Amino acid sequence: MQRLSIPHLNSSGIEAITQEEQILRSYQTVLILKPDLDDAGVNAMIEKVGEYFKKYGGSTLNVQNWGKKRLAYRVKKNRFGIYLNFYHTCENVRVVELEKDFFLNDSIIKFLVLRLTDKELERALNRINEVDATEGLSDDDDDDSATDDDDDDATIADLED
Amino acid sequence: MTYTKKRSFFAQKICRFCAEKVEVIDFYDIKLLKPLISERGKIIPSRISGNCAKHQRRLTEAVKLARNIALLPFSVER
Repeated sequence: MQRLSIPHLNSSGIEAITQEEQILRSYQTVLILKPDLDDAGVNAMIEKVGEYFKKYGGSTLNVQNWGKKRLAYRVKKNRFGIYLNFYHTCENVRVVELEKDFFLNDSIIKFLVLRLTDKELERALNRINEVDATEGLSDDDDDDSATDDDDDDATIADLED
Repeated sequence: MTYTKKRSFFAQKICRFCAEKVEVIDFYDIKLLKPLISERGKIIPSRISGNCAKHQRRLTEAVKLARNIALLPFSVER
């Protein structure tokens, strides 16, 4: 293996680049909290995470509580988790620090931070408003999905034959 | 014989996202993704589901994100 040498990037050069690129960007963050937290605990967590965003130069745009859900696989020995969805801004350089904070927080068992373009953010916020306007949080209609599953299973089984 | 029979079974060869004019596939929209996942948790290929290449690409990205945050399984063992 050849080592890559980068002569044009000395330490000062890297600093200059990072300083130049420090922009406030929008992100979507999904957190999975421990299932044994009660409502008060969840609200406290929402506030705490909002403080994290503030600490790194951002702010919370929207918070959604998706409620307690069954996880598709075990995460840190938990079968259930409380999902929180945030739309927020953060300084792009300090997202690493934000993720470190999530790692260190014991009530967060898993998280996902996604960068959103302006278009995507606008669309997401519009969609939330639409859903709020029509009805409250969407209920899980298992009936439809169950029938769909059955159909698809049949097709796959037929194909494999 | 069997071949034609099978073809007729998968008659719908229209991309369901094109038909509904869905541009962006959200990874948290599990209701949308679930029918495109096999019993084993695998993504159903576009030649079976009938999705167009563009939407199949977006679908795989969405499914992989959903797996990351434990909304969909990586694999289902039996």
